[in-house]
Amino acid sequence: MTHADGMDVLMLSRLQFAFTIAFHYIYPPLSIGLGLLLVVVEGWWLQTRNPLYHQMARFWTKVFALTFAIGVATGIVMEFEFGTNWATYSRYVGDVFGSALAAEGIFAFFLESGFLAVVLFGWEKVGPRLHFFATCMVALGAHFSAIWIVVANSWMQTPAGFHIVGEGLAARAEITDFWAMVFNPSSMDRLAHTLVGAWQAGAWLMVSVGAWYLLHRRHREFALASVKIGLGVAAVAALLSLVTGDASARGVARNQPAKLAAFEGLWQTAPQAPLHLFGWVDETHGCTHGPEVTGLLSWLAYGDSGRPVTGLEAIPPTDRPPVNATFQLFHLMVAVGCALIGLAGWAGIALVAGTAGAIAPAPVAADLRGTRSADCQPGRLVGGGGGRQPWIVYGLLRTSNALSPWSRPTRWRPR
Amino acid sequence: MIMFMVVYLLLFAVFVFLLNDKIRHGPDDGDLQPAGKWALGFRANGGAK
Repeated sequence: MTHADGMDVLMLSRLQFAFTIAFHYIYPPLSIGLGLLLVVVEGWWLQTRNPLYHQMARFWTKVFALTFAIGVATGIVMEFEFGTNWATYSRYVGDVFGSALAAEGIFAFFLESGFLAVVLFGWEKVGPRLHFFATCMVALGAHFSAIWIVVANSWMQTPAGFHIVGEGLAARAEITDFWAMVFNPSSMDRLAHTLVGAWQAGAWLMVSVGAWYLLHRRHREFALASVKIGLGVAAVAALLSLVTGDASARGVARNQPAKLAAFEGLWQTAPQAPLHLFGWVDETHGCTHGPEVTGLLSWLAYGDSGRPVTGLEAIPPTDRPPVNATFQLFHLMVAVGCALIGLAGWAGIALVAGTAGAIAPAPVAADLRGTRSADCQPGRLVGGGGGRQPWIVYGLLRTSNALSPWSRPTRWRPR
Repeated sequence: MIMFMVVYLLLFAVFVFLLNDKIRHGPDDGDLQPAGKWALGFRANGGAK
């Protein structure tokens, strides 16, 4: 991939897209999570008429608007990159993604951005119930947006409901069954895992800001309410992440054995497949160093510790993903997810204990670790995308063949 | 490529600056009491419980 005289256009294009999408993907999960929390807070205000919740709704609406605006701005760049860097890929998947992305634009983005104007500028101009309806539509739009994008991305992992038309560079996929495309083998598992991750990101942001106010002894009532509501949503979502993550990993075992083998640094296909808690993959010698639990991977993947799991040695080297990078990012994602479950439990106990002294350590930790939930999202994204390599559409189109035709022979030299 | 990174750095700086500014400013005390026709409904409902 790299050369002594510099990086080729493929690597540069991949680096640029990885950077662009990782940066973009900080914001949509925050919007989705905060959208849900806005519904909770404003609904709670309508129910109780406690002015504290009105104040919270207005404050968090402004933060939501900021994440939404940056999310839109950073998302537009990727649309251009599809054309400039990945024209062959765009042509190949265009007839499949066209309907999903059009649905995203019409049913999700228009819904979200249209009602956002009412949410932002409609305070005291429309009735409280209409305003709450607009808030619900914004949250729904954010969730719909995730649905269609995850469906499109999942189709790249587990293509279904299509046939191939043409050959060579002119080959492209066409939909033969729209619903088979939507409900492709990995879409629902990945959607569930993505949404609960997004809820965590928004909830931990709310907890973090509340924690910061508590530490600085400001806006105590507001801060406590933010920590309590955020923590409630974060705790539920953190536990759901375990369930949805497990379902998603079982799907990877069924549909993408090379990716699962890279996730776990598994080389030999054998019964009692071990699961590495952490470690380092030596790709040159084909082994993984680190503490392992024998049979745990077989049990997690198939519910049977004696069942063999496909190792990397059974997969041709040209079809293997970059193993160590995928292994490290996957384990980082799992570690952050487990840490957030522990943090939610610790902070919950501290809150139930009720004294300011008991609460203090939790906000400190939340302040330090809370927004890491959003950082976990790009890790999840890059780990998932990295494990799909060397395919851009799994089993159908290699990433190296997806570049724009003009850029293939070009070599970039660093100055 | 350098310009690309600079634009993104600027965008991230704007986001951090605005978020930090909003958090440091905190919630507005005026938002504790709804205004306009919301206030009428609010008072009709007996204010805060």
